[in-house]
Amino acid sequence: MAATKAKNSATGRTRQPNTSPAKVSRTPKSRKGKAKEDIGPAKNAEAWKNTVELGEDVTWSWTSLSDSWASRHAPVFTKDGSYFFSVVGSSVKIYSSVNGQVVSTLSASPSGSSACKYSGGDGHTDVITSAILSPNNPYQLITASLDGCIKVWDFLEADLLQTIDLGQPILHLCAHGNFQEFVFVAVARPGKKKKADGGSKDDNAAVLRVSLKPRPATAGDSRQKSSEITAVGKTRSTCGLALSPSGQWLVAVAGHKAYVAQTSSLKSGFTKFVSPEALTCLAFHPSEEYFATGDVRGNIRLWYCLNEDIIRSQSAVGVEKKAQTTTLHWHAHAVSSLAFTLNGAYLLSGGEESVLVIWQLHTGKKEFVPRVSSPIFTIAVYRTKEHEEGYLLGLADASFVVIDAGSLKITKSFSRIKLDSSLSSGGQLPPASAPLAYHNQSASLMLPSSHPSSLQAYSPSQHQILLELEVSPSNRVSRRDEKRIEPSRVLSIAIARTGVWMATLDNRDGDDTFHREIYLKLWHWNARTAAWSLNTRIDRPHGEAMVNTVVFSPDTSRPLLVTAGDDGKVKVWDTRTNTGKNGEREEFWVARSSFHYRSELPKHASWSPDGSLLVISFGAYVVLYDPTTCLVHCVLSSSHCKSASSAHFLGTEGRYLAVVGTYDVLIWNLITRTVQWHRRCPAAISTVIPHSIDETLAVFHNSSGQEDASSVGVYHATSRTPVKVRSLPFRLLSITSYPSHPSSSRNLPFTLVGITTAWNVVMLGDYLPPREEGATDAQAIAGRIEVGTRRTLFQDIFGKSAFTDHSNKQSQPLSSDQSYTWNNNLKTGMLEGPSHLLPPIETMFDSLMAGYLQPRLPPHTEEDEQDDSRDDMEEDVDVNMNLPGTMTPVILGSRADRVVSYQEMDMFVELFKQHAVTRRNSSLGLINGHKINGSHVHSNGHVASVNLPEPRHRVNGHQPTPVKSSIQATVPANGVVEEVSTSATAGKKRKKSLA
Amino acid sequence: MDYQPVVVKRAHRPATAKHSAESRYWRQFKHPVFIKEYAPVTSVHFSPSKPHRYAVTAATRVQIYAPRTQKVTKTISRFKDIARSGCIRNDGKLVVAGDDTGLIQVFDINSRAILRTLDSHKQPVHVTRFSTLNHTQVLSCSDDSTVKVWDVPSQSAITTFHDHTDYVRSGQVSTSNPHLVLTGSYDTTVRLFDMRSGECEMIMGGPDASAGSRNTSPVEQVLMFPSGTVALSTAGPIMRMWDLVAGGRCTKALSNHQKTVTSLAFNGDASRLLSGGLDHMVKVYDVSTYKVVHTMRYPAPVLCVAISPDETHIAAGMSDGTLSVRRRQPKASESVSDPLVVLQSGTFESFLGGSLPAIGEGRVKSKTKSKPAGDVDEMRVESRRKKRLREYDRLLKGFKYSAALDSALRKNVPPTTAFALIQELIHRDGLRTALSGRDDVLLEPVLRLLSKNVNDPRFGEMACDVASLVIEMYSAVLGQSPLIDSLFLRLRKKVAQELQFQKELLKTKGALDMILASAALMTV
Repeated sequence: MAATKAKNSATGRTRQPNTSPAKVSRTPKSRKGKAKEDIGPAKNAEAWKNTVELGEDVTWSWTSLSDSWASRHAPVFTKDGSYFFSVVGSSVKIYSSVNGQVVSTLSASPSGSSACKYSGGDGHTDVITSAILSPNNPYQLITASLDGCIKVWDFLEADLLQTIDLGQPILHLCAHGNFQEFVFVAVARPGKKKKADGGSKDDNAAVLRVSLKPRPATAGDSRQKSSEITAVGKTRSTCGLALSPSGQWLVAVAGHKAYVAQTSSLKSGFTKFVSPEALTCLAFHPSEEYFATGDVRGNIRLWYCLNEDIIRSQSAVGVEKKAQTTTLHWHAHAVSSLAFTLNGAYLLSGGEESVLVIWQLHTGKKEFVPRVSSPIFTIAVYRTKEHEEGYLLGLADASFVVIDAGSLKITKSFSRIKLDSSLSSGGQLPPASAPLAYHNQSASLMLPSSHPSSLQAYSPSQHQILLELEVSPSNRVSRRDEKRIEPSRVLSIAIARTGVWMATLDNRDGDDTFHREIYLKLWHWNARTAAWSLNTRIDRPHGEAMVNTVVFSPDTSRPLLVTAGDDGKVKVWDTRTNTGKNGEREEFWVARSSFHYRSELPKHASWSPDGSLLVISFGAYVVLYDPTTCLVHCVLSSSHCKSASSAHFLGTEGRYLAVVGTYDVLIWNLITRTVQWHRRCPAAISTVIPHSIDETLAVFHNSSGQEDASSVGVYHATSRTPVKVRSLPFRLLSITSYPSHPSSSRNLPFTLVGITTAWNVVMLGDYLPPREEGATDAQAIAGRIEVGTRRTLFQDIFGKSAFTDHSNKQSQPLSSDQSYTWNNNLKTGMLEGPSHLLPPIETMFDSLMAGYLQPRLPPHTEEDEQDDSRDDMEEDVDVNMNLPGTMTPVILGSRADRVVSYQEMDMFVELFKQHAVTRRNSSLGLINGHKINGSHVHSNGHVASVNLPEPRHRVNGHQPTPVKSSIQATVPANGVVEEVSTSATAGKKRKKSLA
Repeated sequence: MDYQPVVVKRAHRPATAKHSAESRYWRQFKHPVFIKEYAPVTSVHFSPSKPHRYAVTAATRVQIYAPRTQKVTKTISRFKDIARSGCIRNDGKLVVAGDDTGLIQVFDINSRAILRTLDSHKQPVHVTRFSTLNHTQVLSCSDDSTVKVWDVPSQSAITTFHDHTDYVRSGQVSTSNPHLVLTGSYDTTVRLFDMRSGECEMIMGGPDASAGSRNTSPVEQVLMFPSGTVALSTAGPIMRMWDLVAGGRCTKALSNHQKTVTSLAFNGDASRLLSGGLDHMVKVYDVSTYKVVHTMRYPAPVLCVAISPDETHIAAGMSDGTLSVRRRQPKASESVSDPLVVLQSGTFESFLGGSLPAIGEGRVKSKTKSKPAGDVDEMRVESRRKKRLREYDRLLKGFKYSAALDSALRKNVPPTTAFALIQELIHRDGLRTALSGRDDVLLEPVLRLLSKNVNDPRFGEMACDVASLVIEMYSAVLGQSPLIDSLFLRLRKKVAQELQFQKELLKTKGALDMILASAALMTV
């Protein structure tokens, strides 16, 4: 515990605002120590007592979908420029510079998922601060980390060659070909005297020369000690350490000073040169003996002080000196990164302004690449095998941008989940909640993107961003002074069950001069173009007041939208259709009704599963409305729960309503109108999410003991004792359920997606769909480098990118869930036109079929088999093509005739799980029936038969799942009274099945 | 990532009726010309043939007007008493008119000579009409409750119908069957006569008809659709549709006028119906729905209304002796594309190639410049049009906030754009910069914009915010420029007005709430 804190203090300044990664990465490790303290207070709480054996200490399985922070370390390129290494937390990701795919990960990050905690691994345990190519061997990578280790990797084979433990957090690392055995490192030195207010003032560092030769005594160990460590000198906490190209000079930059030492006479120590402002970055000219620094005021300084005379003239060592400098000033804010081009003619600089400035050193003229979409963190210059120069910018939203040096245009952009750049560049507290929703038509998550006013659609199964949506288009203008520009911010998203409508709420807070701007925007999904288009904009839906809730009704044909605002009103919005002049129908949203209850503030709104009841939580009251007439059905209030923050229906029958307060969970039985059970939790409830099908509820608490941990209790509607209690090493800002059910499971698990307070997107729950992204762990890329380096005639003709996919396919098995409604849109569009305009069907056949059919190959399949199977499929489809418009229901109908026995079904399910997708086959996906090809129809057919139980199984009463779903089908869509009878029978039946 | 131009928000505008396509069309009938007569104008009739001259009957004369000049070309005044119902024959060569002595005269339109005199009615003749299909027949309806059909060459009545029991004040020969005559009388009935049988074949309305079609007020006007299957009649303020095929069933009754409807007219293709009434209104109906699509207001009770067959003129005669003529400038395309004209214009001309440019290989001049066809293997360099930024966007891109604001405050820039730019400046934290350091000349447009739009619900709030900022920044220099001072005063007045208005609205809302609440109590 103490060690962690010391580490934290030491690193506090170097990674200035970005402390969150360290926290996240450290928590799993420190959990072991902290777990006991954790349970301590929980035990005191009386209600918690009986839950301990349920496994409070067990972490709910979770996995991270995003990198959660942007790297501050400039990417390092391989010598041929075809791969680059990006340091992300405690791991190094190897990207292909052609298509930006992660091909391998060294020192897999322990923060990536709950599973990684147990795999000890040989990676770094703390944030990696430096990574360089070994000067001796260009196929080796040397990394240094805050855990005090220097590691040497063979990145081709992804092998760890050597680990040298220094025992002190390493801040920087550099090496030079002249010193084969040695590296220079800057280590943080724990101060001798700690200040009263913690260690934040303690920013001393020391520069050491470390021999890579292990001490003979430790040569056999996995963690070796260095045979020779020479201290060069003491500095403040460094923000740059570099050796001059000739290897003659060692320069460290820290605080307001540049520290220069001559490598030939390290004994004499550093000579200090003072800058008027605190320095932030360092770059050496590639050929000449001078270096450039950037400072917090935006000045770039070129230092011409690497001269023996200047150093010598100073008699006393360690005295501060002035040196001849040149100042280049354009940046208004701190310079975050500097880089010289390879020929040394230009200097590149970037910062918060999101502008790459290219200084022509000879003349001092500048060129700009403006609007690179996010603040620039890092700049790297590389040269491809074709000897084309390019600049790779690492941006604050964790994406990379490639700028062609010739045209100064952005040519490529690589991104995974983009992060909020205003958060990662620091200085701003994360908002209280983050918008998050699942869109089923594109099987993607809608998340906030790099700017708070924009959203991104991320497909977890495809691991890529499908689209970006500017909710309120804005130019990314950086602040003028210190005052931060208030962006408009997307506060919440709601997506209708059909996936056709999306509602977003964006808000720009007002200040003393200007009023708040708040817009409710409704977007329509265009399935053909696979894009959202703005349908209706509603200015100030609740006047000046804030809007708390935006939620669609579950009605699939004509959803209603409900908003509740701080003005005390609840509004229902509805679509209206307008027929235009030319007969085109135009749908838009209008306010349908508006109501309020006494003078209470509505806090939360939700719908019953069939859409017949609207539940609004008004403080102490929970009011059930009829959505069409807006009449009050009944008012629920209980002395147990003085202020209900939300109310949720459990399950699909709408019998149980969970009312959640700050500490309390109440389950109302709506049929008897009595409280089923009540539970007062010892910790405050942060979020609650009901299961989409099952009558269970997950309640998230912020653990009181730890800052970044939370616990989850899963409750069933029938019992006040939790089904299970799990812990999580983070806190959640928002959460949504993610549909991915293993089809055969008896008890339906939770699968959720959330955004943590550290702005990490995580998937968590009982069942996580396996992530098939190849490169989350270390993989050999040796073979690929050969593939990449050999240029064939075809590559010259068709371009290289045409072939990279193929080479990737070999290593990362493509799951067949990559064929989607999404992808199919393209192909259907191809056939839309009039038939006489289409090319002959023979010419289209292959490409069209290739689009529809995703060859699903077991990994052991050999080449000739592959050909065979493909032939088979094509024949199969050929038959189908003769029946245009044949849809899946035909096949489903024929299947329903046959009674499937249970064993058979299980067998198929197992088979299906093994060979095919694990993507959730949502009921909607089935209805769509988007695939025409034979193979997919078969798989769908099986799933459908699971969901459509035969009556004979219900008699047996051994199958809770089918029973329930059949009853769900009989529940009438409206009326509370009818619901009573049906759900009562449901209850009986469950009892029977339990007995 | 490119520069994103300022998004000008579209604000919702309530769609008013005056902006529908239909009413736009009828609004094209502009510039009413008022011609004063000595007595009420009782009848206006357009010649069915070009140049669509129209006969206006008022007092003891019938005047023929030329539509182009809107001047009287002929005046026929050979009546001993008040003339009635001047009507021009299909070919535009003859005019027939009755008078209050019961005399019917047929004139040559050019020489104004009396060609025939039809004299057998004993009472005033209010309706004289040429049969549209049989050129030599004239229909007359008289106050002696008889309806006669005359043969003009022989000056003798062919048939006389005696079935009406009161004045017959309206009538028409069917345009689809020359033997059918539709009349409406003050005995409250509409009758359909057949000249072949000489009998009344159908009685519509009347006090003893079935409930749906009972009519107790005098029938003022009847009109028959060109197809001859549906008839319209007006009695008092009520207009009825009669289905002649279904035996004279009343299919619809409309009451859109406040007072008696005196006249009915179809437009050229009988897709719209015009009705004029004593309530000073002329209403236009869409005959497919019988909804009023447009309303025209006149200064006096309308006695007769007519629209020219080419839909360029609407003439209405009023009880105070005013004739109002509204005209519309037909579009160039309309006159050419008249299919009837092309068909009737004779084969000879068409063979000469003069009148048929639309058929066959007519050369159509394309507006785009023709591109020279190059060689097959020639490379063409496409000139890509760069999207030009607007001036304020260009300035904003260069962070020249003040200049951008100036360019958005120009006269020709709509306020939506100006406020969109102001909002963008607020978002960039640059409005203070843009507003600062202005002298009275530069401040004037800002204040003008604010005072003009401070009560516009689309920008009111933002205008208030900006105004308070301006006041905060420039209150120190007030009193130095009379122009600026007066603008500030105007702004204050505008705000005060708006506040007063809001207060009134709140009062009204409170009153309404009270009424609604008490109504709710009553119903419960």
